[in-house]
Amino acid sequence: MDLTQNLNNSFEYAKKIFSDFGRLVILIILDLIPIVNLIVIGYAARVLKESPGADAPPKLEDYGGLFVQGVKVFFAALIYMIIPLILFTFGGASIVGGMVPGFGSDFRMSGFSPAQFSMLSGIGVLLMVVGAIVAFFMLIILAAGIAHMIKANSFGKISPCLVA
Amino acid sequence: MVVGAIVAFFMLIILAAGIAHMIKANSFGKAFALGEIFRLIGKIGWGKYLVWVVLVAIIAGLVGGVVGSIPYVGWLIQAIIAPALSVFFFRSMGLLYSEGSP
Repeated sequence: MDLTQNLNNSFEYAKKIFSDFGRLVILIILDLIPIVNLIVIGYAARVLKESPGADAPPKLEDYGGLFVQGVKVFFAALIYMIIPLILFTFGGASIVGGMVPGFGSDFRMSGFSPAQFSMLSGIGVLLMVVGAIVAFFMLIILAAGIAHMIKANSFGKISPCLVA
Repeated sequence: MVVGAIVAFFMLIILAAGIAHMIKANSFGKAFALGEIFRLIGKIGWGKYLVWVVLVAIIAGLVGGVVGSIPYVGWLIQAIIAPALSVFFFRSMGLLYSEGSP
């Protein structure tokens, strides 16, 4: 199935959501309420689970199960996005820090001009950000490397696992 | 923040396949089984998968931005189509997943 077929099929499938008015109204209302809207994510997850077997959206039932599934999807997404979120927070804080005179530190005492100070703090943040990215990718490789090292009983196996 | 956006983009690429894998395998840990996730994307085809991610992002952006900016009724239209849009994305990912799984 090419992408056009995939998207056409998905569009036709999603259109069927509008055929059951009661289900549609419940989904819309649930989606508008924070936290409760995880049920709608759980429902979408059930759609994924049943695809490509089923041709029509599933019945809206087992709200508890849908909620649990929605929570899992939310936390998986949060874990993936936690590092970018931290970077955004640091980046935002550094921009605010650069704009507000004397924010967080007295630059007049440091001998730098405000522009130099904000540039330096920006570089500092950038370094931390790059460090965080590198650490994250290293951790991904490290975990697999250590497991492979233990299994293969050889310290040297910690890096060749990347090739395997 | 720019670096954050770049990292967010790369995370999003893995995220969709990761969540699909988690749902299909019925196991939370499978969302982070990177080896299996990369194999899955490899079987689907990296090119095809990346085009799909970009298309989905464009569709989400259009609906969020264009429909949301319609005065007075934009939010209402968004609220009505939001569940259908979620179903659309998850169905599409489900179909894509079935191509990559044995």
